[in-house]
Formats: sequence, structure tokens, C-alpha cells
Amino acid sequence: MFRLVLKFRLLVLIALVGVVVYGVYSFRKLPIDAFPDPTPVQVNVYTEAPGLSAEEVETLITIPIESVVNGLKDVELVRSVSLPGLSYVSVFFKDGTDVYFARRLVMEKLPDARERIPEGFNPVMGPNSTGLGNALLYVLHDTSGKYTNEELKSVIQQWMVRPLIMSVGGVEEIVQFGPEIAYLVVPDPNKMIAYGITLEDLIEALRKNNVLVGGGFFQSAEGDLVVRGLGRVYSIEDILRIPVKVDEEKGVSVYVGDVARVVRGEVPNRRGAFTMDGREVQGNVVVKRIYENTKEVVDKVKKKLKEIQEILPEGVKIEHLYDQAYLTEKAVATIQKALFSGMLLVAIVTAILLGNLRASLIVISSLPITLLTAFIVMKNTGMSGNLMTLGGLAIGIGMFVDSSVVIVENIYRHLSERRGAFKFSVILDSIKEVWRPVFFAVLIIVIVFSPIFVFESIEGKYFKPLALTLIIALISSMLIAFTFIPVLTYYFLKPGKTTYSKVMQVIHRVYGRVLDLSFKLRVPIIATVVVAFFFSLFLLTRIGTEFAPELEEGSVIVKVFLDPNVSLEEAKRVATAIEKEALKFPEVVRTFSTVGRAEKGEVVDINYIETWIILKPQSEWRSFKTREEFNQILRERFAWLPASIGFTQPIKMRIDELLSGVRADIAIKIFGQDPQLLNQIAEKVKEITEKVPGAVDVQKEIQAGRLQLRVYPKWETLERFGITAEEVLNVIKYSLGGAEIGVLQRDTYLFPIILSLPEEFRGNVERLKEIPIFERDGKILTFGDVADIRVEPGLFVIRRENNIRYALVMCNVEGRDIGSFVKELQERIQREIKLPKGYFITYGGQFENQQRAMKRLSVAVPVSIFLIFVLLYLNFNSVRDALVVMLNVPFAVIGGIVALYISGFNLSVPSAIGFIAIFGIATLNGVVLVSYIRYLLEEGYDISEAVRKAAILRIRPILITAITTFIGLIPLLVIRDIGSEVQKPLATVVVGGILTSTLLTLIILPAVYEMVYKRFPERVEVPSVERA
Amino acid sequence: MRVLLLLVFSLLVLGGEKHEHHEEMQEIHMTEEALRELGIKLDVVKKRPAGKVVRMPAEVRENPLLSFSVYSPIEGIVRKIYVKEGDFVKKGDPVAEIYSPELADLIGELEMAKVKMETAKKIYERDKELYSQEVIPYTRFYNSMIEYERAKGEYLALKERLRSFGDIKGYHLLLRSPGTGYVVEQNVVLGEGVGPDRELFKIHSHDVLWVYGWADERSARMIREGMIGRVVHETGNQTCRVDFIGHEVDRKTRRVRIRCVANNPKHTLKPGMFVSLEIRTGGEMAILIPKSAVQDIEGKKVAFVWKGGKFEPREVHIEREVDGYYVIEEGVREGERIAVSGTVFLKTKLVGVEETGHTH
Repeated sequence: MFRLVLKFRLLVLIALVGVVVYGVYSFRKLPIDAFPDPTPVQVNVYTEAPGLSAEEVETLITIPIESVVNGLKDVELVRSVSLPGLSYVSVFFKDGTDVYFARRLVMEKLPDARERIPEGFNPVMGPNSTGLGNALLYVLHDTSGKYTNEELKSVIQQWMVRPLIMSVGGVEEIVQFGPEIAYLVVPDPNKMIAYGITLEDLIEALRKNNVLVGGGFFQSAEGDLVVRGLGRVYSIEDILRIPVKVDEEKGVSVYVGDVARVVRGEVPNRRGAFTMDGREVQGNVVVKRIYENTKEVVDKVKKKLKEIQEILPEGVKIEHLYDQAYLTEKAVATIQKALFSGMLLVAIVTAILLGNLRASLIVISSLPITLLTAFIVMKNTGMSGNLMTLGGLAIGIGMFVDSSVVIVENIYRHLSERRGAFKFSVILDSIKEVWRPVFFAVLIIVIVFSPIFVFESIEGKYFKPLALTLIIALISSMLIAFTFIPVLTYYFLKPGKTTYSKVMQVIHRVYGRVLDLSFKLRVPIIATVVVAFFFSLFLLTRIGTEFAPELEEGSVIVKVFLDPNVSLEEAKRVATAIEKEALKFPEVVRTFSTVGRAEKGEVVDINYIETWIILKPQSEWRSFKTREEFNQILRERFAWLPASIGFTQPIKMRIDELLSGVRADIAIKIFGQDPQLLNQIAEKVKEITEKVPGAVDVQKEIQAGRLQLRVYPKWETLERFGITAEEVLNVIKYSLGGAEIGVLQRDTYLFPIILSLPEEFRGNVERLKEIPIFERDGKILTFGDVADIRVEPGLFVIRRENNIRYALVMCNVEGRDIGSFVKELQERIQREIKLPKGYFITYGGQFENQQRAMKRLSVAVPVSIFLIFVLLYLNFNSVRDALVVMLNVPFAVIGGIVALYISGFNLSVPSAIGFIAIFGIATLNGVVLVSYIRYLLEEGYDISEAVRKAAILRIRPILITAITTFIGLIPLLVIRDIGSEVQKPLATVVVGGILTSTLLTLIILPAVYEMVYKRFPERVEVPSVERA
Repeated sequence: MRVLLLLVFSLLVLGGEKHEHHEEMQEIHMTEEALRELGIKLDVVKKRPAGKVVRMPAEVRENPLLSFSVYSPIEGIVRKIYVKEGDFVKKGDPVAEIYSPELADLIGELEMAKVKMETAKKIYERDKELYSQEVIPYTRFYNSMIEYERAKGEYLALKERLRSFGDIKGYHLLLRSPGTGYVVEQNVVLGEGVGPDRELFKIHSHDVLWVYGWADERSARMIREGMIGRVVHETGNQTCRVDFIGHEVDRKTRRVRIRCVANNPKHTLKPGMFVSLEIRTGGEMAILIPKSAVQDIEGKKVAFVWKGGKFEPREVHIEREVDGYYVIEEGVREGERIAVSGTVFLKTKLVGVEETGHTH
């Protein structure tokens, strides 16, 4: 094979050009994303239920929906939230289920659910998006003073902007905040009594006198005429002129205008608002479709926004506030920076150690080719360039040169030694000599990374791509070393004057002395290492655990819970206060808040505010150094606010929510049936949580205490006058619930007509009772006649998971690792709370993933270490030699743990992957050394001599591979930009591990090998790998 | 069973925490700026009439005590009209002139009687002179005296009769307005024949009007004669005094008529208007604070007293509710400043957002 490669070297060269060109093309076309999207397969069902309380929403809507989706194929979890006016059921399917299939399944069941739900409520499926679907936020605001927010929302956003943005590929939905235009009929109850008009009359009149019918065609002398029945209202005057009733006493008609005012206002009972820099604006969230590339969608929408600005009326500004692509760009730029500076450093080190410019250039050229090849594979397998995949490449940068280094080094050595020989055959011989160990080394690394593929859920979605790209690139680097590199050496490499550079010679001299020392002090050194190993294991117990370091997103979200009974106006005031306070920091670029929910938005009510604080780049921060510090300052500044406040970041919040259904680090769920009891336990849990060190932003979700206006029909009265409860509730629906009575057409736009009681009646229960609603048997009946109206506290939100109600306590952790925090919390809660039968507590959050990942690794890593051992054994055919090589594993562990401990990082999934990586790398060092010793032994060298010679001769490849890997990771350690956080623990472990394992391989392994060789003599007939 | 469980559990959970429930509510520190940002408004506690304000639909009617009609006392023909419908007239202003043949006859008779009387007077005076000179006998003098007295009596009687019709201008009768007010009806045109059976003008004073309200039965029971009410309409308010409460309930609306007499000096109220009538009942003075000033905290009603830079939460005892207000038995004193809006925020400061509102 190698002969063929060299023979058709010109073809290979052309192929190389092809690969480079295609690689560059692939790189530019590679879809870019911040993260692998960790969203599970999930279908959400929303049901708007205006006017229903949480309890009714649960019983009438949520439970019927839950019951039909529960039995669906591959459903793993059903979560629901019932709020006043909204039911939300989230169905989670098994990973890997096709989301469109899942949606179909739910769709098929929805009619069943509809049958069990009272008429008028329509469950709909949420947008087909992901937890990270909120790709972009923009606002419309008016600078001319001509347009109100109502107009911006109902006319400009709804009819001009929305259709254009929806037409952008990949946009699934636009969630729109802001008031909507409505024509409000405001009756004057006093006039109604005076004229003898009831609400029922008014509702009837408005409904029946606003219709449009088609009348078919009419043949006449004028021709064939289209018949149109135009009974629709087109203006306020039209509404005022609608007759309600004929006053028989006076013999005149009473019109709507006689008993009511009609004004243009906003649709009442709005559950949310969007504020920016202290005032309300019309805000929108662009939701991208599932599987779409965020950056592409965002770029297209941004372009569209610019186009839309052109066609908007003068004075109306469309402003882009935030998008996820910002983070993507930052993160990817950071990783690219790490990648390229890593490449540069590796190149420099290789050049120094090889001492030959041509050789180094050839080796270094293998790096970009490897990366380009990896991009080709990624593009064609549909992977995207993101933090994890590019991170995988950045981490492996030093390893990707290894294959080429070994091959070039060997060729160069042979060329230098066998001057004048036929170049073709020298190269061929050199490759044949080393291709097997190279292949073997790559195989070991591949195997060592295999445990990562047992991850599932988020850890799988995050770290599988990392391992996969690393393996792809590693294999590519090997193939390149076998094909392009020999050809390149054939054309460009010339024999050197000396085999070793000056630097190398110095190293050899020093190393010789060190070796002498190590042979002499064999026992004490070994003892020290053993102690060091156990000490490091001890250190490990002092290291905290977490899932993954937090990504710096460059923005902060303040989550604010207010009393459930605040009004929208009051909530807006709080949002404004927070925005103003945050804007006092020069580091803050802008602030905006979402209060409550928009139409198809979040499952929250107006007592929940999310304030976004967009920060300047970290390098420009002066008032604070870290985000945690900033949070702490804000926490103190906001202490006066009458609210419960928590801090998070936009994307982190979403990921937390995906994991536990809650937007905080840790969610403690107390399951049970009785809401009051749950509430009490939750209160207790909250108290305990607050006492655990490290807990910040402890919040208990408000479940009760929502004041309700309860209407109890007076059955006796109803019976006497033959009124049904439905009729009563119908009037409530229109008069209080804000249901649409009809539409008013203006141009081609339709606006709802809504009955709205005057303020003094809406706000006063006593007054409400005076409103006439029915006329029966010649008597006028008021609200108070037919119903008892009382204000009572009720439930605010009812959460359920797999059909069991639960209460929620959530908190964030700062200044401490989450793993130990959760452990302590669990212990304390278990000790201090005795749960009644049927009640139980679960803990959710990213730490769950950490624990699950660690559990998987605790099985998979030993298996892979065993596999390595098997491979080594097959290679050496000697248990003894295999074991000696495996000694590198503990050597590496020492450095990894110590580095982790000193750096202060926690034992997270990335750092665990770091350990996995160094197991492989460290083992390779041993393989290189031991193979050569065995080779020398076969050559007939005495054991002491063989060990020494091998060590001296092999120090260069060992050093080059170790140092390149080491140096390639330095940028990741040093860079502080957004996106480097996740890879840092990994890099730290690898750097530390390589340091110790390489040093110990070079210093102790020869001594140990000699010792072991003498104690356990083993005659092996099978020739070792390295033949030459 | 569940109740039992709950009880047992409450004991378990709350066992060690009793002290917290007896704690004094702590003060809430807050800057004036914070008040402004959160929209918390302060108001001074004042004594107000503690009666409930009953509000009812009402209609303005004319006050029959202040209506005037203009009739012609005699048959005749209208010769002149001084006013038209809608004009404002003062008492005594002329409104019309009537020509009547009867009146003309009367005037003729009067003239005749006058001549007769003057003739008789002259005879009487001459006879008196003659008698004093003892030229004529007493009988003759006496006869002429009688004659004169009769003629004078006839004349005066006629004059009196004429005057009873009113002002006479030439041969015309001048009709004057009997009261001050607006001419609300004019039933006559120039040259028309009129008589005492025909109303010429209707004049109505709007200075005092009657406002009829329809109170629901419950409210009507609280209303007494003499209570002060308020007529609310689009152009302003007027006070009025209740002087009548209906004795029966309307069949259709099941409401009771209430009459309130309203002074209407600026004439903003007009008969026939639909207005609202508010009557404050049971008007003893008491401390009233708006419902929005009070929050429910762990079963207690709490108001927040401003102490300059901080709020002192104070439990208030509520006697009853009146129309958006609480009548306070004790808790806050007159003159103290309390928060009347945004108090939900103060509650949050006190107990956090997780206040549960359950009572047990």
C-alpha cells in the first residue's frame, strides 16, 4: 500500500490539493452553532382558558389532556403546569424518537382530549421548536409619538412585520408581547337600569347585529349580481347605532349608544408586557424551528429586519435586541482562536525539537490538512461546528501531529543515517517500520474515548460530538500521515547533517544523568510516586463536583417573582426599577424585560419578570471582575425590592429548564396530593435549603395565595326564574372574562369588540352586584340576585409530573460545587423532614446529569482501561510488559488531580473526559518506550543497556508528542473569552496529567522495567511490534 | 383522615418554629425614591362619614311647587306676545296683551258711570250750597246727596271689576308672569282667541328640581328623609336633600323611588335627564381607609404607617366595609400617613413572595 502511495505520488499530490480545496469549502459551509441542542424530544400542548382558575384548569383541561397522552408510545415523562387561564402539558418522548412522529401521535390524541374538555377551550400544540428556540428578540417602538403600542402590535407587527419574518426559512413562530387594539363597549349600569336594559340584552344585540353573509347570485336586468349581506360594523358610530331593545312604554328604540360608551382601547386581561430601558414597548421573540441552525436563522432574520425597517411607517423603529448567534459567534471565535494559536505553538515546538525546518514544515502542514479533512467529514455527516465539536479539535490539536511526527522523524533519521541511499526505498522502509505502532496508538486513543459514547441525555448530546470529532480528526491525521506525508517528504525532505539538533543533544546529556540518578535512587523514587499517587487520590475527595462549568454568555437574566396578586402596572414598575438600576453600570449595554407571558409564550403569570442585562465584553468590565461578583452587587442593590430575585443567563436558564422544568441550578420537587400539605413541606424545605452553605436565590414557587373572584350561582333564584348556570357564566365570560363579542372591520383588518365594565364596577365587588344582567318575568335581576360574589384566596399554579402534583423549591449555588451541596442538602432534608406516606422528594438540575454521567463512567472507564490492557497484551504478548505500560495510568492521574486541585476547577464531566484522554496519551508514551526496549533486547542487548539506550533514543518522539499535546492546550487554558469555560477543566487535567506521566515515563519507567524484567523473567518468542 | 394527617404534620413541621409566629412584624425601610418607583402612594388618615354611599340611577323632574301657568282671565284675542318658549322671565314681566270686547264694554260703562258720578257730584255740591243758605229744603239736598253716593258707588264698583282682570293697557289686558323661570310651553299665537279655559304659557323655575332615584330595596332601607345626597351627572355634581322615600316597590325593577330635592342655581340639571344619585347613609364620622391600603397577612389585616423612611406595619381591626373602604375600629390614628396603593409590595417585603394565604 505504501509502495502504491509513493509510486503514484503525483496523483496523491493532486488528491491533496483536492482535499484542501474541498476542506476549505466544507469549513466555510459548515453550519455554526453555539451548542449541540440538548433538547429532548418534546411536544407541548397549550390550552388557553381565559377566566378559569388554576384549579379548574387542572381538573377540566390539564388532567384530560394528560390522560390521553400518557399511554402514547415512547412517552417517558409528562409534565404539566396549570395556571389561571392557561394549561400547559409537556410530553417528553424517548431520545431518538422522530419529533414529527411524536407530534403526530399527540395530534391524533388531541381530538380525544377535546371531547373531554368543556366546549370553547381548544388545546393546541406548541411551536415545533426546542428549549433553545428563542433565537432572536426584537422590539418595535415609535419615535414620532404617532403610534401607540396597541397599534404597533395589532397593525404593524401583526399585519406588516410578522408575515415577513414568518416567511424566513426556519422561523417557527413569533411570540408577540404588547397590548392589542380592541373596541370596548363600556356600559353604564345606571343608564341600563333606567332604560330597563340588561347585560344579556346588550350582549345579544352586539352579537346578532354584526354579521356578514353571502347571498349567492341574483339575476337582474343589470346583469348577474353578487348578493352581499353587509351587516358588519365598520366604525364606533356603527356600534353605537345598534338597537338593543324597544322601550314599549315610550315606544322608542334604545340603542347601544344610549347605555354605553364605545372606545378604542386594548384587549383587557393582558397577561404580559415587554419593557425596555424603562418603558413599555412592543416586544417579540422569534422562535426557530427544531433542527434548524440557529446562526443561519438569526442571520436571515437580521437581514429581514433591515429590509422591514425600510417599509415601516416613518417614526417606527424595529430594533434587534438579542440573539443566540451572538454567543455562537463569540464562542466559535474563541475556539478558533484557541485552535489557531494551538497550531502555531505546536509548529514552533516541533521545529525546535526536530531541528530541521523542512521536516517541521511537513509535520505542521499535516495539521491544517487534518482539520480540513475533519471538516469534510463533519459537513457530510451533518454535524455542526459548535463549542463541543470545535472544542474537540482544539483539545486534540497536539495529538493530531503525533502520527506525522513519528513518521517524519523516522524518515528523517533514516535519511540522515543512510545518506546516498535510494530515497524511495528509505522512505518506504521507514514507514513500514513505524506504521504499526502509529496505528496502534490511534487505536488506543479511540478506545479510550469510547466510554463517552455511553452517555445519554444532555451529557451525551454535549460530549459525544466532542469525542466523535476528536476521533474523526485523529483517524484523519493517521491517514494523512500514511499518504500525503510520505509523498511530501519524498519531494521536500532532505537528509540533515546530524540526526539530532543542538537542543536535542543538550536534552540527551541532561537526561542521561537523570537516568543514572533514577537507577541509583530507584526505591525511594518509586516510594515517593506511590505516596504521591495516594495523596492525589486523597486530594480528589476534596475536589467538588459539577456537571460542567458555566458558560459565560455575556448577559445576565434577573428572574423576579412578585406577589401573585400584583397588577400588570405594578409589575411593570418593578421591571423598570430593575432596568434603571442595572443601567447605572457603564458595563451594561442595554436592558429589557419580559413581564408575564405573551400569547403562546411562557408558562408564567404577570408576577414573574425576566430582566435581561446585556453586558459589554468581559475585558471592558471595571465595576466588577466576574459575573458572580456582578450578580452579588445587583443582589445587594435589589435587596430593597419587594420581590424574590434570582440570577441566571439566557441559555443556561433554558437548559436548566429543560432538565428539571425549572429555571435554576437545583430544583427540589415535593410530590404529593394535598396542595396545602405540599406547601407546608415546601416551606420547610426552603428554610433548610437557605441554611445550607452555598445556597443563593432560594425561591419557593408560589402555589397558593392567588386571590380569586368567585361567583357562586344562587341556585334557588336561578330555579325560580328558569335561568341556567350556563347563562350566568356566559354573561361572566363576556362581561368579566373579556371574551370577544364580535369584530370590527377596518380596511382589511379585523379588531375584536369586547364588553368592558367601567372601572368603578370592575374594581369593586359590591358594585358588581348591582349590574343588571337578566330580565325574567318582567323583573330585572342583577348580578347580586343570581350569584354570590366573593373574593377568596385560591391556588396560583399547579404543577404535575407523571400525574402527581408537586411543589417546587429552587435555588442557585454560588461559591461552592453543586455536587457536595446537593449531597448535604439531601442529607439535611432527610434528617429534618419526616414525610407522610405517599409523599416524596426528588432533586433535579444539572447535577443529575453529572451524577448519571459519573455513574456511567465508573463502569465504562474501567472497561476501556481493561480493553487497553488487552490491546497491549495482544501487542506485547506479555502480561508483564502490558502491566508496566499501564503504570502510566496512575502516573497521569497524579498530575491530573493535582492540576485540577490547584486550578480550583471541579470534577465535572469535561474534567472526567480529560482524565480519559490522558489515560490514552500516557499509555502511548509507555508503549513507545517499552516497544523499543523489547526491540533492543531482541537485538541482543543486555537488559540494563537496552533500557538505557531505548530511553535515550526514544526521548525525542516521546517529548515531541507530549509537548505538542501539552502546548496545543495552553491557549485553551489562557484564553478568557466566552466559550472557553467548558474546555478549561479538560485542558487542565490533560496538561497536568501529561506533565507527570511524561516525566515519570522517562524517569521511572526504565528503572521499573529493569527491576520487573529481572524479577519476572519471561521468554517471549513472538517478535515485538517494532522491528527495525 | 386527611385533616388528622395535616394536623399531625403541622405539628411536626411547625414544632420547633413557634417563636416565629409570635414575632412582632418588623419595620420596612424604604426610601422616598423607592416609593416613587414602586408607585406606592401615601395619604393622611382622616375621619370621614362612615356611611355607605348608595348609588342609584335617577331621573330629574320638575318641581311642581315651582311651576306656573299663564291663563287669560277673560275671553278675548291675543294682540301682543312678549315672550316665546325657552325665554327666561322674572315675576311680573309682561308676557302678552289680550283684547276682549267684554273689557271694552266694561271700560265704556265705566266712562259712563264716571260722567254720571261727576254730574251727580256737581248737583250735590250746588244743592249743598243752596241748602246752607236755606234756599232749598233739606229733603232736596238729601236726595241729591243720595244720588251722588250711588253714582260714585257704581263707578267704583265698575273700576274694581276692571282692576280684577289685571293690568289694563288701553283696551288691552296685560298678562304678567306669575313667577320667575323659563317659558317651557307656549300654546298661543298672535290673534288667537283665548279664554280662562286655555293655558297660554307654562313657566317653570329650574332653581330647585326634584331628582327621583330608584334605589334597590336593601339600600332603600338605609335611606332616611333629610339625608344629603349627591346628583352625579356629566357636567358636575349637585347636592340634594332626600324628602321622600317611596312606599312601594316597582314591579319590574324591584326598586324604590327616592326623591331628593336639589338646588340648581346654575341650571345644569334639566328635567328629564338620566343621572346618578348618590346618598351617603349612616353618616357618623369614623376612620376610613381604602381597601387598597390593607393587606391580608397570615390571617391578619395589616395597614402600613409611614414613619419617614420606613413603614410600620400595623394590624388593624375592621368594623365593616363601606364601599371600597374599611371602617377601622383601631390600628391607625387620625393624622397618620399610610400607604394607599402598591401595598402588595410592602406585604412582600414583610413576608416574601411565598405568602400562602392559607389559614389554619
